[in-house]
Amino acid sequence: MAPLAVRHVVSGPEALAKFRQGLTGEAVFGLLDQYGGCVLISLPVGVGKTDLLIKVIAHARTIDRRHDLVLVLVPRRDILDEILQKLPPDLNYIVLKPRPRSRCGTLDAGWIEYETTGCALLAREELCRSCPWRCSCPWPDQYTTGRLKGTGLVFGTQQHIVNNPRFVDQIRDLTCAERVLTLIDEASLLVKGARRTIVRGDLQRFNHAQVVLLTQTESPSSRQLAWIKLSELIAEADTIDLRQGRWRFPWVEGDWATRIQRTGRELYGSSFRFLGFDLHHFARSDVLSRERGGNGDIGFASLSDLGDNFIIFSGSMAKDLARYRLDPDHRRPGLVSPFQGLRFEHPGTEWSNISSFAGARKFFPRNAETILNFFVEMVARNIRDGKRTLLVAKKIFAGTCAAYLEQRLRKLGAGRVQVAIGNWDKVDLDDPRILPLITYGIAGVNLFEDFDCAYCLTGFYINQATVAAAVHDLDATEDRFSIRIQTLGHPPRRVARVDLPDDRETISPHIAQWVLEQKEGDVVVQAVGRVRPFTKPREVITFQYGALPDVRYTREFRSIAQARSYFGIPTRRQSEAESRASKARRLKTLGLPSSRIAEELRVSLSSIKRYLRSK
Amino acid sequence: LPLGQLVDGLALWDSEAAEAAPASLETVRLDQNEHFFIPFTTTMLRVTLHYVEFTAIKGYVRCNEPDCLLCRLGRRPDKRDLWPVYDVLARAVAVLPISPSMRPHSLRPQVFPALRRMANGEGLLLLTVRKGDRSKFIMSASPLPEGADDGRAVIGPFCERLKAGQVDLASAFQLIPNAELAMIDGVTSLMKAKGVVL
Repeated sequence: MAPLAVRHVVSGPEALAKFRQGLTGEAVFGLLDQYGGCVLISLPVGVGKTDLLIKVIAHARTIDRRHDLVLVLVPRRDILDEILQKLPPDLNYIVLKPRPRSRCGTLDAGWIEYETTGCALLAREELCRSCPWRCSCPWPDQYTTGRLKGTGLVFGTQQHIVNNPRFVDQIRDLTCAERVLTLIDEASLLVKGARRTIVRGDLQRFNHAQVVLLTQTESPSSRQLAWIKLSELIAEADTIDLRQGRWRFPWVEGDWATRIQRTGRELYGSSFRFLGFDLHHFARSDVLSRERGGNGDIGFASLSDLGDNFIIFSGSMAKDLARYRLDPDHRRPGLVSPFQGLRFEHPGTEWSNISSFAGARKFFPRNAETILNFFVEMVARNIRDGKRTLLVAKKIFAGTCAAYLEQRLRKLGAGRVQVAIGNWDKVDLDDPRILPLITYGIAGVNLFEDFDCAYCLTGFYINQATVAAAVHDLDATEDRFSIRIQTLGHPPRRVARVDLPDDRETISPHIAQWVLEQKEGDVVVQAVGRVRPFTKPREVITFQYGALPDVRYTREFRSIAQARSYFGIPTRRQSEAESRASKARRLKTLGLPSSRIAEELRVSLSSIKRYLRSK
Repeated sequence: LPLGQLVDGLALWDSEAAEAAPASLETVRLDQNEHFFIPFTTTMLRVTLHYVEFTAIKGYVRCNEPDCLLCRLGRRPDKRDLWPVYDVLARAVAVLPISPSMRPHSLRPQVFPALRRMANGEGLLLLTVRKGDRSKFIMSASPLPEGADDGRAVIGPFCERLKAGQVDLASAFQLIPNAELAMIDGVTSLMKAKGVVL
């Protein structure tokens, strides 16, 4: 598997089967060897990312044992469960579990307060100790060497690395591993906010708690003294100082941390925040991102550290965006993306796009009836043909869309139609009259892969503030430039622009464009990707004023009217007139005079005459 | 040169000075003072360096690829593009190391347009560069003022030697063989700790 230099298309089942033959654990390990240990496997939904992930796990644990720990981090627990079900049965592993909140019962509310203020160590001591389930509850001890030492395969959710960017290091220490291979399923983790803030007041209270504890300690340890010295130093440091020198805080020793947390809460109650771990994140943060804000808060960006060897399995993330988010100064060897430039398509898939802003949040309410009536007719046609349809909408409009579609489809005589938003395991998804409606942002749900059609009832757009937040996440305030999103060309394409102060050629404009594609276009592709349009013959209608990453539209419409004309869908008025004409003709065959039919259908006699003439 | 023959003394000494000049180059060490450079080539050399901080040695050294002891000891390799420029104050050609970072205030994005202007045949440029804090650089490029030292006497011979392969841009950084590195105190300790042998 050498990186592909040119754009190449894998089209159809045979080409796909051939391509999949090359997706082996051995081939991926070859890439690790060849390119310095950092690999991005970018494959669209349905091509075989999850299968490859499992092959890599099996290869790493049974054939190529160079890594004594394989750490697998996935976005959600249901995805984790799916992976575990597909694992070869003979592999031993440990799954890191979240705190069993329902089991915590009445202690849960207290736990949340302790967790959100960084006082989990104290919570373990004060809350878990009084818990009746403590003896049989494995959770408090799951992060101990006693439990993890020697474990070769660990699963968890990516929330761990969001909470603690040095999580890979932490697990390596706890398992006593030498070489770790980190496997990341879905790259959305990389564009999550990395910015953290140490609030000035929190730091003052943290330092005061340390001072109080010191006065209560007869012979403070050197670590305790180093902590207070550095904490007081950072409280006074200005931006230049924050960026200069090495800020190395001592190890957070459990007993000390618990005592500080107890002292702090005694002094300040729930407004005390334990900052030991935050200060460690600061010390490891991107130097250029550090700053002292006008209000005295300390801001910095804490980048996820995936270790020396990692593989990211992603839908469509740009390689250089992933690299930038892990290593903004390009200090490490580059990331290799062997499938970049490869496009997948099924020749039987018809991908139409309505290239109009009518489906955007701002314009949808005023266009809703026109838009939804078009889709009502499309869905009614599918129901008649026995085809199953997946609907996609923006969350805010999901309820409105569902209610309208149900009502109109029943009126059209489609029977007992149900639009199901969530709880899909409680409905019969084989019935074409059951219409699951998912919202943008969904990923990893594999319930709809045999559906025939996916229709986007609304568009999905992000604004420049969202792009700017992601682009400047790693930058200090003075390094931020204004960002605009423009729509250019015919057919239109969405372009992110960065207003740089001069002609410098930086990575920022590229990052802005990749972020736009990732946070906007990729979200749409992920949603309709639930029906597997890249690998199976499907009908897809998207509603985006712009291109989608790695998608070639079969056709583009400039408006709903154009789409309606192409698909031969009448307007609501036409549709209702046709319905009345049909009823009029039926009544005529029963021998009713035209005047009676007009009365029955509540229309004028001339209309009835017209309907009957149109026969 | 035959003895007993009249020659132009300046030309003679200039040529001898050029021959006698060591092949090694100095690196530019940017600080918060302004430095002035005249770029004359778009040629660069990409090298891998390691930053070391031991009692005996501190600074960047070249990577002994492919079997580098420092790589085996886990010292992070850093890529640098080495660009020869004329240093106006030193009146000599020096090497400006440029990191691959493309963040707005790093050097590469600011040098890039100057390279394009040179490639487009614009006249001599004067680059003014200084360091902000940490990895931030502030650079501007303007046409070289009339009558200013254009470094012609130094740049010309340097370019000829560069073309003839007589100049090694990487020589601006030390290349310490693995065997010698292994004798440095800190390196020896790391080798023992990691069980690395030569």
